[in-house]
Amino acid sequence: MTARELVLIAGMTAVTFLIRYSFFALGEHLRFPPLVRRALRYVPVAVLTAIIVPMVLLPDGRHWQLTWRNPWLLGALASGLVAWFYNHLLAAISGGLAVYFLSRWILAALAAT
Amino acid sequence: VAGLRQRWRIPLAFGLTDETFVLAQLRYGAPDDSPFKHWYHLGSFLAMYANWLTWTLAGILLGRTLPYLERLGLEFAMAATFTGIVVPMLRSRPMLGAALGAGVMALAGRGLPYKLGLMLAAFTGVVIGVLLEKPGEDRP
Repeated sequence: MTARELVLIAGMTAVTFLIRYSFFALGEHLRFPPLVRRALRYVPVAVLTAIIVPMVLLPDGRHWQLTWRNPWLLGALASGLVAWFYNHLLAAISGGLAVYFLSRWILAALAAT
Repeated sequence: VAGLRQRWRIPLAFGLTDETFVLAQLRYGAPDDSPFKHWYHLGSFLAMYANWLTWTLAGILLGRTLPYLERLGLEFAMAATFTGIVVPMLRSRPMLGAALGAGVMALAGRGLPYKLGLMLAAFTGVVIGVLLEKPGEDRP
């Protein structure tokens, strides 16, 4: 490990820690205005959706794959359906993974024939 | 955490992860007034941290020994997990709007550098969610 890498790691530690600690240090002096409180409720949904959608619709990062031949799309639909109807996270993950691997396997078999 | 001394706040801030936040927030909000809730927070942090280090180490060791690991499609587990978290939250109009806005914007801005597209998408989603709230409605 070079000195340069050590400095980089120390810098990243400092930045991450300062961001987390800033809210803890202010603590009791910090009160969010109501509009910010309302807005913060939408952050998890917005961020997670923004991460998933491009991954699922363009698995290779470049080409649209809005077809049933896209295992990412099929798997995500499956975990979404399980999550919606059963509201059980582990079941949704396993269902999505099962459909993903099954469809990859079937598509590979189809391509081979 | 606001009631704690600084020498408690520093290590707790170091160990703040999404999972610890959820657990600690539940414990602090619990109706009993135990004076040891920050110890619960610390325990959660240490357990999560140890777990994380263990599996990272396992990943490093396994990654060296198993070839083609990257072709197994394990990244999909992340998409499945996030989908499973998001979908049950979409039961109100503002939440649905926030998700749609964020999704469309993430697609439109996916070419931007430094994950700017993600930032823009998250911001768009939040704004749409707030705008779709009915006046006087207090829950999402």
